[in-house]
Amino acid sequence: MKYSLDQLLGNECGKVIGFTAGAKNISRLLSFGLLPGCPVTVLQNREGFSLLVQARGMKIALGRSEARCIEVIRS
Amino acid sequence: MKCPSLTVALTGTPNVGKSTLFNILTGLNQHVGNWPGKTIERKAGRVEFKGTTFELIDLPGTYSLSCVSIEEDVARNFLAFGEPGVIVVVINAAQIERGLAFLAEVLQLERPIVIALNMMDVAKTEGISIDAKRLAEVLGLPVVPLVARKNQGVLELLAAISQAPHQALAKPPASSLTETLAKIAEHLPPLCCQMRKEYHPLPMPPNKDSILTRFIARKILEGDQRLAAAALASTHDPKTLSALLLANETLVISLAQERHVWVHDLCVLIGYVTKDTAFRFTNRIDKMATHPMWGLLLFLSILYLLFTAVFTIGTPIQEFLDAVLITPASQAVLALAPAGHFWTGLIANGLISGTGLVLSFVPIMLLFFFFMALLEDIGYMTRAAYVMDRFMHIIGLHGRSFVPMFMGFGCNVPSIMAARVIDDPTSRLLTMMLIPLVPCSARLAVIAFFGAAFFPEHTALFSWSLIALPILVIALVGFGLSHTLFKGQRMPLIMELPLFHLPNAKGILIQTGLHTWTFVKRAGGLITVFSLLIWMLSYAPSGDVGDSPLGTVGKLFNPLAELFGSDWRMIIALITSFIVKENTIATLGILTHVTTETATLTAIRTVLTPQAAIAFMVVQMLFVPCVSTVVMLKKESGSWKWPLLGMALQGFISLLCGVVLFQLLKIFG
Repeated sequence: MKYSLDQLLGNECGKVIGFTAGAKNISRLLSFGLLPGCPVTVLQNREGFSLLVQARGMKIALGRSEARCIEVIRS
Repeated sequence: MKCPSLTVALTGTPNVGKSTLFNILTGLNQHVGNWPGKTIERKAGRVEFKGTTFELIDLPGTYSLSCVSIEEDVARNFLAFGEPGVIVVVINAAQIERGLAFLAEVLQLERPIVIALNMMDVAKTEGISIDAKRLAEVLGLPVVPLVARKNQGVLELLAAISQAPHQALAKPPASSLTETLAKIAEHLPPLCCQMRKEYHPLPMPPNKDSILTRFIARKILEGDQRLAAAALASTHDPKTLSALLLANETLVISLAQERHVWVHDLCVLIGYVTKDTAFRFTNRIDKMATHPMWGLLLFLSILYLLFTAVFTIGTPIQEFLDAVLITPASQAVLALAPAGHFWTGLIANGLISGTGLVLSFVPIMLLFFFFMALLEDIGYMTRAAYVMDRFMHIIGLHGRSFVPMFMGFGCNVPSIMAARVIDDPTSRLLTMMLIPLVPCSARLAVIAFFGAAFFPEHTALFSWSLIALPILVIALVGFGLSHTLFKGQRMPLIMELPLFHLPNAKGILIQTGLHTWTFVKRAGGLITVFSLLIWMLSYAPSGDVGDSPLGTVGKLFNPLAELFGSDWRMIIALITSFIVKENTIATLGILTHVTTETATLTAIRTVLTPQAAIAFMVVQMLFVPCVSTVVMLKKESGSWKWPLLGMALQGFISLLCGVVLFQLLKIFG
């Protein structure tokens, strides 16, 4: 089942499968290696705060609206 | 005989230890300037190695060569058009995949490349092993393992750099999209010509032309908006190009995927197994540092310690310098002639107290820049940005704006420059407009001075409440501006939190030294000149301040000053603080005809009541920024509109706050 990244809870893992239509800033996400097929772990997801995720050996702070653009499946 | 020289560009993604490597290689032999026509810092340095001089250029860290921020633009354009003799790609061995993805982009330029595989020690602690020899074989490039922090592998790196121009070029990763890229590239020679002129004066060799146009085509497809706009503006046939770009819009993902497939294959070839690294050390600290509540408490404690350390170490040194150097010097000069003599007055009260003032601020600056560099170097700054992100949303910004604003506590001028890391132009401009409201160390020093004069028992309380006020004003102004002048879509927050690591003393000291020196150079001359000028304007024609030109101007504003309990002398002190904020004290010294800080203290106490002193401090804290800040704001925003608006706004807010506070204090005693 498809989720947006901000729907995953803390300590949940997923895999990027795409981006929502019309999403901006894709190239920025891509330059961090967040592209389809990339595994992500949500480290911290608290309402009202930006997300903290781990992907490609990096810790990344991700705004909620950016996380909403990323489509993932749970793994 | 002059050594043959070789231009070496140092590039890499952020947080790979690139600047540490640069500092280790060049030491103090570096010069910081600006890129031509830009306000972006250009760091260059020289290294001699076996009869060759390397001219090392430290390029800003870039996540990719299809750029979002203007800093990244400069790095990419220099790599492509600046004709560097050798490109050193610095890769973090603990995050090799990411480094290789960046390398894939640089390879497209077909220039001599050396890979500096840094942080081998961090990789080892994380249980990652990388076969550097095998990597070199597979890539056909020299790969040098390094621990720059510990000076390991540096000589091998220099040797590899000196050999690189004589070796065969490595092949760039193949692509299935070559045809599309070629079609777009056909439109790009005019743009390439234009950009090349900016970075390299010689005409472009024809074979390079096709490499560069294909490279630029790729970057445009990868989503580089500025390049796309420039290409459309320079081509003869914008219609066809625009249609071509639109039709291939979705290739942005394919290109990234191709790159990562290449990286993946490479990892297989060198026997590197991807595994989720634990980052045990970093994660343990992050549990607290990024926690919504503990993280905030940690940040506030660090802030408290920082200010306390700066002022408890800095202020005694400042007083010591004043007592052993400045006071005796000016008294010695004054003793040479009878009281009221023009020349001795000019030298003692104008020159010595002016330069002395600059000198006495150096310890505070030095300490502040030192702690800032330390926090940055160990990797804490982005954590503070993450924790503060939520609060930054109130003022229409996000975490990335926090670091430049925080640096404003040191000096507003470099912190306005630091706002360049913010990708979105609107957010960047708003950040730059708010930075002058952050009380810089010069303003804080004036506060500390007044605190000691009026509330010797409660100096700390006085200073802290005065720091809280501008923060409140920033929140209000930020909220107001982001809902009026700076409305609209905001740039996203995508920010890497680097691994925590032990600080590199050499790098921090160089950084601190360079920052302080830049400050002294910029402010030193100005303060001295204006101290002399103010003294003369307060002396002529009769030696009495009341009749002097400065006195006359100040007296014009006397009714305004009375509203917040001050008199014309305080108005002059405010006006001169426009030159540099520290001037407030120097001016008051000159106007009350005393030469030492201690005597100034006593003199001010006779002019102001405690309530008036508080009101005056509030005005001084929020008043029009200093001239260097205004000039920097003009340079960075590209127009006089913003600094002028900022000055008007701050002038108004400061006077309003001062008047309201004084009247309230008068009523409630």
